[in-house]
Amino acid sequence: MDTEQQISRELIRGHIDAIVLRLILEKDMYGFEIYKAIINKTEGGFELKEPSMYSCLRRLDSLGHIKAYWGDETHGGRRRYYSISESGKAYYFKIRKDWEFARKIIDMLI
Amino acid sequence: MDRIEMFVENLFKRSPKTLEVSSQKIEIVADLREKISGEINKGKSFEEAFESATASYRDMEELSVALDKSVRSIFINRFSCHLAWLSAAIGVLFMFISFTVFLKLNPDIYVSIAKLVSDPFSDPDYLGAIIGGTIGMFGALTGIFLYPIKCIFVFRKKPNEVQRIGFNLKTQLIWPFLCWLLISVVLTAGNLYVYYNFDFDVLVYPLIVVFLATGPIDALLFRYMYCLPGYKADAM
Repeated sequence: MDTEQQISRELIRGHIDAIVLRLILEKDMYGFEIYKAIINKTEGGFELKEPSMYSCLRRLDSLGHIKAYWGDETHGGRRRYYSISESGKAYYFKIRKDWEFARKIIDMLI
Repeated sequence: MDRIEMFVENLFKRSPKTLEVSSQKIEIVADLREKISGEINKGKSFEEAFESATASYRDMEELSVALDKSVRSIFINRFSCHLAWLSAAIGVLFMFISFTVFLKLNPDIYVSIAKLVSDPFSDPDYLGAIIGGTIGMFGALTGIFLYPIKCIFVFRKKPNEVQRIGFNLKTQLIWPFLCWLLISVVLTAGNLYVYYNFDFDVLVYPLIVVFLATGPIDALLFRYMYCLPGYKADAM
């Protein structure tokens, strides 16, 4: 991985909370589903490492922005699904607004 | 335990055995299985798929920190503290009932027990104290079983919000009960020793002390032990 790519990844990593919340906003998802959705949406351009994803989920859960619940799968391992809470939605829209403002400013400057 | 479970077990071998860590293990095992089977479907061998799927788990520090924070929050969360004191309060309440509603009070509970053994109905005062003591005992038992009763109640009401990590009779019922029994025996023996050797009612209502001491301990013990049985069992 070259330095440029690494910097881009670090930039994206700074927005993991928003990325995860955006995905869960659409529908309840379990961990690996989120992992796959990020790869698919970026066409393989960005892969969020699982430990980072789980720690993000734990953090959002402890802040009350998402709620975890267990699925009732009858086959295979039990899945822990995540749904977004009202405070999570508010938090997502706030950071999205912040991001849009920052992007506008950067677009003006660069 | 298969290779995936062993791998995940090793990832968390230094982590405390808590509900949150157990949940995390279940989650990672399930996700890893799906990831590995996806890789196998692409034509990889199990070995290659396993190596590829687990490669990103080399750095677990970030997750450990996140889990450590949640572990602390589990142990100090308001609900379990309230529950612990509630169980103590129930014990005290029943003791209060036993010593006030049954007005024929005799604080000398040990003499009452001796009287019960020899001639239970000879003195109504003693009988009153004995009935009171029995009710107190029910209070203490309620305290002991409050947490598992709560678990079952919540599980039935909200099955998707409660993690079923299994019900282990040995760790979740027998050990706490034996623990409670041991604490009770030690405290009662101490009180008996003081009473008969020094003729001093240092603890006039010794059972209150037993219930006060064991209620919160039992509740916290259950809270801790509920996390212990591991993540394989799936029936409560």
